[in-house]
Amino acid sequence: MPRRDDIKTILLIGSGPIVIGQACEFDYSGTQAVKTLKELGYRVVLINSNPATIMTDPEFADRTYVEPITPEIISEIIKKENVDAVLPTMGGQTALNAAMTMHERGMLDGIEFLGANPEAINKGEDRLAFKEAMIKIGMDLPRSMYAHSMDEALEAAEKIGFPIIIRASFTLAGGGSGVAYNIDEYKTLAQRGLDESPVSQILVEESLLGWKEYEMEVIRDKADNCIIVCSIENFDPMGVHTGDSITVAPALTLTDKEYQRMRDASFDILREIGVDTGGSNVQFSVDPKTGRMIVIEMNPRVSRSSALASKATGYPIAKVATLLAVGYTLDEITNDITGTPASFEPVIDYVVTKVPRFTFEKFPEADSTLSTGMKSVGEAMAIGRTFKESFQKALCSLEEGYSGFDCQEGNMDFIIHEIRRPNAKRMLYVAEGFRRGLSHEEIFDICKIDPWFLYQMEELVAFEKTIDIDILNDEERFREAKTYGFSDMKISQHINRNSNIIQSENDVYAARKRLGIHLEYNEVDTCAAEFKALTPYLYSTTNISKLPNLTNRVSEDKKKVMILGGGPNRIGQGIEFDYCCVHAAFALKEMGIETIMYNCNPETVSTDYDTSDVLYFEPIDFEHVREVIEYEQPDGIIVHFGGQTPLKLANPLTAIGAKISGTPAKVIDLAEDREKFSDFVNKHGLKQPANGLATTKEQAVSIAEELTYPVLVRPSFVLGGRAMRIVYNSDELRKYMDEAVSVSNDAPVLVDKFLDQAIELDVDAICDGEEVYIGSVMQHIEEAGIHSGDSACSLPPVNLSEKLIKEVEQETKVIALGLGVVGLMNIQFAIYQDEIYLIEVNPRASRTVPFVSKATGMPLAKVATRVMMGEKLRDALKFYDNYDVVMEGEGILKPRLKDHMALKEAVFPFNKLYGADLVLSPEMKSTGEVMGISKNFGTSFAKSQMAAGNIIPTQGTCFLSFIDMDKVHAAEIAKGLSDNGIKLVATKGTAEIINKAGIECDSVLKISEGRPNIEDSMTNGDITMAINTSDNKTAKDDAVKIRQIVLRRGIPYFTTLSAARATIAALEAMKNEDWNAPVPLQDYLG
Amino acid sequence: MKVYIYLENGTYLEAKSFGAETTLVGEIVFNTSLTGYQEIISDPSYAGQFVTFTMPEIGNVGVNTQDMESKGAFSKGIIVRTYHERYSNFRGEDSLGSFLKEQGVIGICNIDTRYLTKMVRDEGAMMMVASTLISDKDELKKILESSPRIEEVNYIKEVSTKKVYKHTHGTYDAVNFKYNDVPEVKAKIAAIDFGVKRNILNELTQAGMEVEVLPNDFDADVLVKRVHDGELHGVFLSNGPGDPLILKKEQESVKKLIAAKVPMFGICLGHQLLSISHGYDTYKLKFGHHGGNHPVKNIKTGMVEITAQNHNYNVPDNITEIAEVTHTNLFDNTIEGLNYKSGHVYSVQHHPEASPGPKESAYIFNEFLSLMGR
Repeated sequence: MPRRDDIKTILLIGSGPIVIGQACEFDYSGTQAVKTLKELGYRVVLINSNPATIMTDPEFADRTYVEPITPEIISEIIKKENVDAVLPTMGGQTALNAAMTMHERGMLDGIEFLGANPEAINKGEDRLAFKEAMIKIGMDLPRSMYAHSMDEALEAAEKIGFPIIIRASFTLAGGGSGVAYNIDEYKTLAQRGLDESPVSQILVEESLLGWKEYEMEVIRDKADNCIIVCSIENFDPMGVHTGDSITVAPALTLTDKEYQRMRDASFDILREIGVDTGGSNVQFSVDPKTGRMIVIEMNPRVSRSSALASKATGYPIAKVATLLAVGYTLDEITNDITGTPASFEPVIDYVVTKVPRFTFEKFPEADSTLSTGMKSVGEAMAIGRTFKESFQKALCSLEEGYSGFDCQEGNMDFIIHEIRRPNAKRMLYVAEGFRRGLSHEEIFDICKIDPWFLYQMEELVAFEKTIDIDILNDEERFREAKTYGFSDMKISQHINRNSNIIQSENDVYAARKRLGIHLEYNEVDTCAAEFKALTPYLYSTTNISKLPNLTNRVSEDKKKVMILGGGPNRIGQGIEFDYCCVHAAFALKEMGIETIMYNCNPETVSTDYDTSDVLYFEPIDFEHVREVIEYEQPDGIIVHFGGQTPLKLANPLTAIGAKISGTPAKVIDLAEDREKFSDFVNKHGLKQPANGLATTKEQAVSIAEELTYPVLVRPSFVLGGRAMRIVYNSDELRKYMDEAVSVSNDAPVLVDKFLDQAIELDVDAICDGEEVYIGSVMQHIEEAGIHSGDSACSLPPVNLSEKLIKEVEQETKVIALGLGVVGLMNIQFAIYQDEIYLIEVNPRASRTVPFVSKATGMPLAKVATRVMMGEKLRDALKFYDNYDVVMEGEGILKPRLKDHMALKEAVFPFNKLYGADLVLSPEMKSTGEVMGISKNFGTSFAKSQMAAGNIIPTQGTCFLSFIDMDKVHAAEIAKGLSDNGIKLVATKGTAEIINKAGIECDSVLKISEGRPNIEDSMTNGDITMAINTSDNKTAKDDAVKIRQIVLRRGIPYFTTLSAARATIAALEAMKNEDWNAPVPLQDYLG
Repeated sequence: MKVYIYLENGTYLEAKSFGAETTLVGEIVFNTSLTGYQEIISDPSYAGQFVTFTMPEIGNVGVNTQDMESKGAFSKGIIVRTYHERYSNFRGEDSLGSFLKEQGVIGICNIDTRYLTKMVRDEGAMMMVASTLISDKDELKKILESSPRIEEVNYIKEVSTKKVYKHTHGTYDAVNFKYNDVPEVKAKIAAIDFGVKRNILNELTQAGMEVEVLPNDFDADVLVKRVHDGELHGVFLSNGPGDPLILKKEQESVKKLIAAKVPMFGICLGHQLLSISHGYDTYKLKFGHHGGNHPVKNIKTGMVEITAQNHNYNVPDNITEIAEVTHTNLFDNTIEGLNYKSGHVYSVQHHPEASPGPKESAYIFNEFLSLMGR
C-alpha cells in the first residue's frame, strides 16, 4: 500500500542533548526520518533542543522548534501547527517518554502515534507488562520480582539469591541499575533504583552473569512481514550494559538451530508487544552450558543498536522504519544499496566489531567498573574480513592511542584482577594475560568471555610473538600478519620487542609496499556480493592472497575531496564536529564535487551512506588514511572539521604530498605551537596572558612563580581541556606535574597566568585570505577558568560595550589574515579589567559552529567549505544567505543581529557516573548541549536550563552558599531571588549577611554542625534550587555531599555568580505567563 | 597443507587445506547463509559441487549429530575465508575439519571468498578442480578438461537411499534440544529420495504423515497401484543434486504418477522434475540461488517469506499455461511455487524445511494433507 493520505502534518520528536545512552544515533535516525517524510510530501514539524544536530537545520523540516522537549511545549506545538500524527520512535527514550507522558495525561487525544502505538510502547517498556507478555507467549525469563519499597526489595532478595540484578523502571540507559553481590551492596543499589525510577519501582532479578548476550535488530511492517536486519553478539558476557560491551556482528557462536530459535522468538515478541511498523531490538541471553535462552528486554523503537546494525550491514533501518510508519510494506520499498526489494535479510561477508569509548580519565572519582548502567560516551566500529582484523582495527579507531592490543603493565595479580573486573581496557588485559602465559581455560574461568573469542585473542598473541625483523622480507608471513589486522605501528613495536631492532611505522610501511601488500577496499553491500553494490560504502582489508583487484572503484571524472571525520564521540569531541563534516559534504555536493567521507563512528549522520558520494568506514590513523589517499588520489582533504583527531594528521599527510584544502598545515602548527604563536601575538601587537613553556617540573614551578599564582596549566595539543587545571600554589603545581601529565621535550606543559574573574568570549570566523566574516561573538556565562565547552554562552553578548565587541572583531580579523587562515577558525578571548586578552586560536571548526549557524542563520561550515575550495568569501556567503544575514561594517563582514537571543547550555553526565563530583573546571566534562532561543536573555536562559533538565522553579526555597570572595555579592543575589518570590535558606554566616541587608533568609545547619541540617532539608524535598559557588579547591565534605544530593534528587543547581544572576533574569522572564511559548527557528531567522 | 585450485575460466589459486587430501572436480557455487554450515555441507543437493561460503568465519561451532541433514557430506569441497579448528558451542562434538576428512570432502581456507563470489556472480557457476596432491596448473587444467561437467553426471544414484525405509522422527525442538513427539498419523505417503534432506522428512512426519522413503529408481507402476488401493495417499518428490533434465528415468516415472492423478508435492529438484514431466523444461540460472535470505512472495496471502534456497535450475515462465504461480522470488521475479491446474500437484522451488534458514514457509507441508484430502 502506498503512503497514507489521511495525515498531512507529522511531528517528529528528537532526543535532545547528547547524554550517556543517547548520542548522535538519534540525529542519524531523525535526519533520515525527516528526509524521508519530506520526500513523501508530508509537512514535517520537528522539536529538538539540541542545536548541534543535522535534523534541526532549518532547511530540513518545515517547522523546526529548538525548544525544551516537554509535554507542555510539545502540546503547544501540536495545537499551533495542526499536527495530525506524532512519530516518537526516532528520538530515543527522551521522545518515547515525552510521548507516553502526554498520552497518559490525555494530551495526545486525536493525535495518531506512528511507528508504535502507546499500548505497544507500554508493553515493551514497562517491565511488569513486558514480563506478562513474555510469559503469555511462552518465553523463558529470569526469575524476578518487583519491589516498590525497601521491605519488598529485601523479601525479593531472599527468594532469588545473590548475585542479584537491580533494574529501575522507566529510566534511560540502565540508570539506577546495578549488580549486587552482598546484602549491603544490595541495599544501596535498591535504594538508588527506587529513588531514580520515576514510579519508584525496581525489578529484582536472577543474575545471568557469565551468560552469553545477543541482540536481534528486527523490522516489522503492518502486513506482519518481519525481517532480521542483523544479529549482534556481545564479546562481554552478561553483566555489562550492552552499550558498554564490545559487540560483534554477525553472531558467531550460534548454530543455525539456535539462531533460528532466536529469530522466531524475536518475531513472536514483536507481534505480542504489538510493534506494527518499524524497527525494534530484542536482547537475549543464552546459558553457554545448556543453551537455555532468556529474553532480556526489547526496545519498541529505533535504538543505538539500530544505528550500529544499519552501519554494519548497509541496511537503512531508520529510513525503512519511517516508510513503514506511514503505510508502506517491506516489499514496496527498494534497497538503495542493491536496487533489490528491502524485504530481505541482509547478509554480510565480513565481521564488524564495535568498541565503546569511555572517559573515566575526566572523572577520576567515578567508579570505572562496568555494570548494567551505561557509562560509555561513544563508540567506534570497525569492519574486517575476520574477527581478528576487525577487532584490531576497532582498537585503532578508538582514539585512545592504541595501535592494537597494546601491552599492559602491572603484576600478574593485577592483570588477573583486571581480566575479572569488567572495565574499559579489559580486552587489553585479556591479551596481556595470554602474553604472560595464561591459558584460554584459565582466562575463561576468570571472565567467562566465550572461548571462541578467547581462541582468537590467543592466536593473535601467539602470532605477535613471531613478528621479527625477517617478516619484512617474507611476503607470506607479512601478509598473514596484516590479515590478522596488525597495524604497521604494531608490527614495528613487535619487531622492536622481538628482534630488538628499531623499526618505525614508516619502515614497516615501506617494506610492506615493496612486497606489494596493500590494503584493499570491499563494499558494504547488504548481500555478501550476491548483487552489485550501487553505493560505494567501503572498508579496508588485507587480502589473504595476492589477487588481481576486482574492486577498483570507478570514479567519475570530476574533482573529488575527502573529509576526515572525528571518530568516536567523547567528551570534547562530539556531534558538533560530525555536524561540520556533514555540512562540508553537503556543500561539496552543491558544488558538483565528488565527496569522500572518512570516519569510524557508527552513530553519526556522516557515516550514513547517502550523506556523501563515497564512504570509507576506517580508523582515523595515519596508516589507514594514507592508504585511502593513495587509492583515491583526492584533489583535496578537509582535516579541519572533525576536531583534533584529523587535525593532528595535517602534518604527516602534508609530508606525504597529500593536498590539504584550506588552512595549510604550517598555519595549524603555528597556532598550536606556543612559542611560534607568542611571536605571532607580539608581532601583531596583541595581548596574551603572560605564559611560559615547561619541559620539566622545576621549570614549571619557576615559571609559575614569575607569573604569580594562580596559573593555568595544561599539556600542549589537547582538546576538551584534557588535564587542564588552575593551580594556586607550588604544592598543587608539583602534584599536578607528578600525577596529571607526563612531561617531556616532545610534550611540554603550558603555564599561563590565570585571569581571575575574567569574562570569556568565543568567536567563530571564516577567512578566505583576504576578508573575514565574523560568524558571531559569544559571551560565556561562566567566568574564564571553566572550559568553554562546559560554559553556558550567549549570542549576542549580554553586557559588553559596542566598542569592546568591535575591538574583538578587529583583532579576529588581524589574527585570521595574519595567520593565513582559509576556512573556519575559532578564537577565545578573555576580557580582564577591560582589556582584551587572547586565550586560544584554533584554525579549525569549533564546537560552537552548529550553535552559531542555527542562531544566526548562516551555515558557517558550508560557507567555509566553499572558501576552502577557492571561492571568494563574499560569493560563498551570498550563496548561503537565505535569511539576509550578511552585513558589512568597518571592513568586516558579520551577521545582522536579529532581535532574538540564543543561549547555549552544556549538559553533564554526573548522574550517570556514580561518584563523579559536580564541579566545573578548565577540563571539559559535558557530553552535550542545548539551545534556548527567545526574544530576551532571561527567557532564553530559562529555556536553556529547562532543556538541559535543570528546570528553574518559580517558587519554593533556594539554598545559598558562597565562597568567601563571593560573599560581598550575597545580598545582591538574595534580593534578586527574593524579589521573584523565592524563599531563601543559607548557612548561618551567609544568612546573617543577607538578613543584614534586610532580606528574609532562614538559616540551616551545615552537615558537620549537627541535625537537622541542609542534607536533611534537601533529602526531605524542602529545597527546590541551590546556588553554591564554593568550588573544588575549597570543597569540604559538606560541599561534596551537597552536590551528591543535588545530583541524586535532581535539584536545579548553579555554581557561579554569573549563573545565579542569569537565573534571576530567568525568574524575571518567567513571570510572563507564556514565556515558554514555542517559536520555530524559521520564524526567528526569517 | 596446501590446496591448489583451477577454475574453468583459467583462474589458478593456492590456498590452505583443512579437509580430505585428494583431487576432486566439481562445480563452484556460493552460499550466503550466515549460520548452518553443517546443514549445508550435509545437504545431498550439493553433490558434485564446491560450496563457497560468503560467511567469512566457518567452523566456529563445530559439528554435532542433530544438525546432520543426511548420513554424510556429498559435496566435493568447501571453500571458506577462515576456518576455525577450535569451536565453541555446547552442542559441538567434533571439528568441521575432521568431519570433512572423514567424509572425503576437500576443505579450502585462507582464500578470498569474496573474489570467488564476485567471479561466480559475474561469470556464472563454473567447473573447477581442487587438489592437495597436484600443484601444477597445467596438470590441473588437464584433469578439469577431461572430467565430465556437472550436467553430464547423475549424482542421484550416489545420494539416494538404496533401501526402502520408514522415517520415524519429527522435527527437532531447539528450545529443549530434543526431537518433538510424533503426532497421530493422518496420511501415509511415499517420499522419493533424490537426495532428501532429513528435515523434510521430519517436517512431513511432524505434519502428521507416515513417511515411507523410496529410492530414486522406484517402480512407478507399483506406486500408482498402492495409491489407487488406498495404501498410500500421496507421493512426495524430494530435493536433490544436479541437472534435472538428464534424469530421464525419473521423469518417466513422474509422468506415470501425473497421468495416474497421484496427489504430489515436490520441493526443489522435485519441483523441477514435475515441471519437466509436464513438458516444461527447466533452464539454468547464471549462478543460482543459495542462501537463507531470499524474499519470496506468497501470492495468495500477499505476505513476504524469507526463505532458504539452494538451486541452480528453474522452471520456465510459460509453465503458467498449466499451473498457477503461488510464490515468486522478489529478488529476480523467478517462479518459486506452483499449483498445477490439474488439481493434484503442487510444488515449491525454495526450502520450506529450512535447516538451515528461516522457518516461516513450513506451513507448505500442511498443505499436502489438504491436497490429499486428509
